[in-house]
Amino acid sequence: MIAASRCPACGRVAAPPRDRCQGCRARTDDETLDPEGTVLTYTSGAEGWIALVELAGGARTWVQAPSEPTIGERLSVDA
Amino acid sequence: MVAIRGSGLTSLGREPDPSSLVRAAVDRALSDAGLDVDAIDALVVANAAGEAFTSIGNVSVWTATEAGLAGTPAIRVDTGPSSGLAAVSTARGWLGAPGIDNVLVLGWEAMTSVPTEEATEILAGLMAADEREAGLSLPRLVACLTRAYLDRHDRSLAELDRVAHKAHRLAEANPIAQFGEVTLDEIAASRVVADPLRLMHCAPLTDGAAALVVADEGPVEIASMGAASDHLAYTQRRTPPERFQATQDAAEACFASTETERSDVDVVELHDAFVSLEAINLEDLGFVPDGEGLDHVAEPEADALGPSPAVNPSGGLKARGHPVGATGLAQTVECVDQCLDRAANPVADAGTALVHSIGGFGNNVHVALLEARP
Ligand SMILES: [Zn+2]
Repeated sequence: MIAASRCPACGRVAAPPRDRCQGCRARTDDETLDPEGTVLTYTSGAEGWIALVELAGGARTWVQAPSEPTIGERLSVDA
Repeated sequence: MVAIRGSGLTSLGREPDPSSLVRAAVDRALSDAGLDVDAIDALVVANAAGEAFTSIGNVSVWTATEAGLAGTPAIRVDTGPSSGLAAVSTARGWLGAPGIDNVLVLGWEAMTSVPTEEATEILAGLMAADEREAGLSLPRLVACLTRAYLDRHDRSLAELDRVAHKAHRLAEANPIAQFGEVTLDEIAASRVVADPLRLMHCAPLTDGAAALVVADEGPVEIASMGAASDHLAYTQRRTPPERFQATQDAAEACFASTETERSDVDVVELHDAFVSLEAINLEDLGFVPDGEGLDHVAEPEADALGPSPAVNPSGGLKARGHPVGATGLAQTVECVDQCLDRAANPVADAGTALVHSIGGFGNNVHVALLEARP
């Protein structure tokens, strides 16, 4: 599992966690998330590929991928 | 009424001496307005990164001095690549203050005096630090947006090539443009910058300057403006990855405060720093349904200006050139020229034009609606 935060006011989930919600400024609660998410889009990086991955609750993060991903594929933040 | 009394633009391309750029733009705008420099009561300077590209400091006062306006109140506006249009918004607010009847809005950027790698690094300063550290660049972020768009709407890379081809074809007829015609083969064979984007899908580094005199009377009215920002990082956004929410919000704000409707607009000059943005922006601005922008802008057979509204008849940022801090003003000058029937690629009977400018990755978007006065 990976560390994240959830906003009790608007429900926004962020990973890595934030003290204050970036949607509404409320104080957030700690949350843990499955490290596997869905590839929203990707491009080529300096080495390999870099994918924008959506985790549970809508949190988005960048994941380095050694081979070309596909949109909709499941990819793990730990990979 | 807030109006554009005169306008002027330098040639765009390689002229990295900021002094000559500034003087040329000022001379052209004042001459067009029929005014002497003494008539200018205030100066708004649009410049995104003068310190980094040229080592000029105190950009507002430096520019005022070069323009022959030492002693005149001067403000520098920096919203990145939308600085030019943000400066128009600032001038609009300043106009009408005691003693402020004519405001000169002057944008300049001299980008080619540093190596390309250094210029890319300077422009990456527009991004969130953690995304830079994750290996992203502005072209890589736009490549991600573009891939999401092509995938969502089942469009092809070859259609983007045709948008680039059209932009260069229009620029060929525009004497101030940085580039002329290129072939579809040259576009398709250019090197990959950030997959799927190739070099010929991207706007160049450009030196250039543009200026307007904003006053309460003039041949082209600034009928309405709108602006919006967004989260700095792409990962902080929760909107669809192929959309720019800030463009949607800025356009809504602009049209909410005027009787004019989108169907009244004859010409759009939008922020095509990458060719995919020509389609995506047209959709986010609300002119065509999502997924149909390429039908509008991907090189119509007979007439490169395409269906109404005509999009980027100047050749756009892509082929006319993209001097970042001056770009919003270069776009505005093109729209003024269209409204006054003196543009290089004239759109028939154009009287209403929309300018759209982005200040970063889908951020700090400014929109202006211009209307010729009868
Ligand atoms: Zn919240």
